[in-house]
Amino acid sequence: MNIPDRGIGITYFLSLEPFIESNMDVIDVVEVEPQNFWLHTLSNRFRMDDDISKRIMALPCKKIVHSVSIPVGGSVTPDPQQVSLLAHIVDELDAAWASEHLAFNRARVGAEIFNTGFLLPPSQTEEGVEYAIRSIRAIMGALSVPFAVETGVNYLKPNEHEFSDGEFIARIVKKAGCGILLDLHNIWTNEMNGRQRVDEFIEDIPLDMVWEVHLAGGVEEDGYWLDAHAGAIPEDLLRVAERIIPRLKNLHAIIFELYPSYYKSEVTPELVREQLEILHDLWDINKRRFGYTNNSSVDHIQRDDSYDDDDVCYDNVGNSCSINTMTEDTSSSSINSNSYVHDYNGPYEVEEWEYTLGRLVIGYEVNTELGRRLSADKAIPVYRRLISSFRSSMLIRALPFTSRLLMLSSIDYEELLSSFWSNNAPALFTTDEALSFLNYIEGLDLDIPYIKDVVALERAILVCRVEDDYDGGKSEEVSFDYDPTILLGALIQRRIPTEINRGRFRIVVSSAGLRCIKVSDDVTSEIGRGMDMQKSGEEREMRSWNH
Amino acid sequence: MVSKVAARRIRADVTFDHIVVLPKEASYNIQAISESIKNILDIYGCPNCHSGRDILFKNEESMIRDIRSIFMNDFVITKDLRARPLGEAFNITL
Repeated sequence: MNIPDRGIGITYFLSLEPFIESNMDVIDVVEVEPQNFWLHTLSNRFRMDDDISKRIMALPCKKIVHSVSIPVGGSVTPDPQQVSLLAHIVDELDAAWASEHLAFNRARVGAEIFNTGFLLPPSQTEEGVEYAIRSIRAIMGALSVPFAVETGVNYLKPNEHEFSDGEFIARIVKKAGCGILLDLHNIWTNEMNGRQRVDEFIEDIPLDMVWEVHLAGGVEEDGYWLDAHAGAIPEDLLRVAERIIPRLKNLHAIIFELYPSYYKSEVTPELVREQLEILHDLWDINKRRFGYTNNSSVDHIQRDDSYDDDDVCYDNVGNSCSINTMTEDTSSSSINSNSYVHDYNGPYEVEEWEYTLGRLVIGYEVNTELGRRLSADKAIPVYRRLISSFRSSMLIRALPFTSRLLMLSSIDYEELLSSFWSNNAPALFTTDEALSFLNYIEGLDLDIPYIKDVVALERAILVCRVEDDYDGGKSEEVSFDYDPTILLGALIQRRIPTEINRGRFRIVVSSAGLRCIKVSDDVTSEIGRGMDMQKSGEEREMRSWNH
Repeated sequence: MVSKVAARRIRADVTFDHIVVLPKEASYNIQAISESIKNILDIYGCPNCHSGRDILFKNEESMIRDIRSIFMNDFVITKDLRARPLGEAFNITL
């Protein structure tokens, strides 16, 4: 199995497409996070949006695939259906390799599994290593290309029962035989927040197994540096990258990560281009030393079955403990002064860790020893706020009309969201979260003008979006007793209309988009005829509704 | 009176981001509606691919607050020399 060089690239998002197309001279590859465009059907199937696939394939550059929904750091094994779709997309995009996060996003509560709404740090114990290897092998077995795991962010304090961050990943990749996606911003963030220092991390991991590097910008909030993908790479991190990247002899790509919410609102196209030019300089330094490879052998990824774990120490109940003695962080670059070894007063099992952390970050209390200890970590409220930001933003994306109407009404929208969240665990996919929210809103029977119609319309749009049987011509209709385009237009402008034309209108939702039909008086009697209604009605088409 | 920022935005007939201020209710340009929605719909699958925060909601909240602020607190002087809320002058109620 060979891995070719892919060079410098950026994460693909729809809103970044114009930038990508006009900056192809500095972009060799795009990294596709396919789950951003996956549709989860009502019958629990997953499918890729075909239109997006075609758009990505049409880009005149190579593609690599970075999976974001089936992390490999937890005890819940990756969903086989999603793994299968991932493998299909990897082949379709002719990706040279694929990657996932060494994190978890699902946990067990009894026999049930719940979503945590966030990629959370795994239990970095020997048991955690074994679970990670099991999940990695499940994905590797389905892929036709090599697989790498990404080094993650962890806002929690380190504790005495876990391996150091570097040792944990080293043990996993050596045993699993996969590569490393070294996210330098992540490990730099960890150091900034009081975890292992970057230089120690780098000494812990097998550098010849690093195939890909991620770089990004972040933001400081509440005393924590956040991995927000928010813009320019910090200068201090660039100095770190200049030291480490020349040591990576099997490096095949460097990706700049930028989250679309920041693009243009806070980050200019010029700044993004400048970051890519910086990455080209780093790439050239690496390649001048090690040479360019179009089809380099990757024998180094062969599983190391002889890996000697004698250097792991175990406590008296068989739980592993860190080789590195973690002490108070005296790093001058650290912004989190609360970094000390967290005493959890005894070992814990992986499933207990996942349940406890997963429940705490979505707002529940866990009345166990681990729950009480973990909830004292100042990172827990940080996780809660970050999850809230994702959940609220999901609704803005999927339900622009409903969310704006609610925000413009007299109700306290943030209180409404809190109430929804306290009754509903996070959904993994935006469309699921949105449908769940619509059900919740309907159950409240809110006295807000237009709300029932807007909810009905957006439900029809979502259902039509996720269900592939609408591709064959099936449609949904929503009736109005006023001109809905006036309402929708006003909501686009973030306001509620003061005047609105009365009359009988319908919006027909299909895979082709929306059509608004005005039914005039003389046509009313023809409604029962179906087809005649459209022929006789005054019709305005909402073309290119890319919903 | 109208703040300088608000006045500049109104005169340009195009305010921040994708907001276009219209003087009266009318049937809307469907293409404009589609384009506005398209700008929001960047991710409809799994969005939390990183360990930071998503600022889309905060941006939305901020823009709505800005619009409320402009139209509820600013005034224009009409031809009959009366001060009227800008929102009222533009037939906009929030």
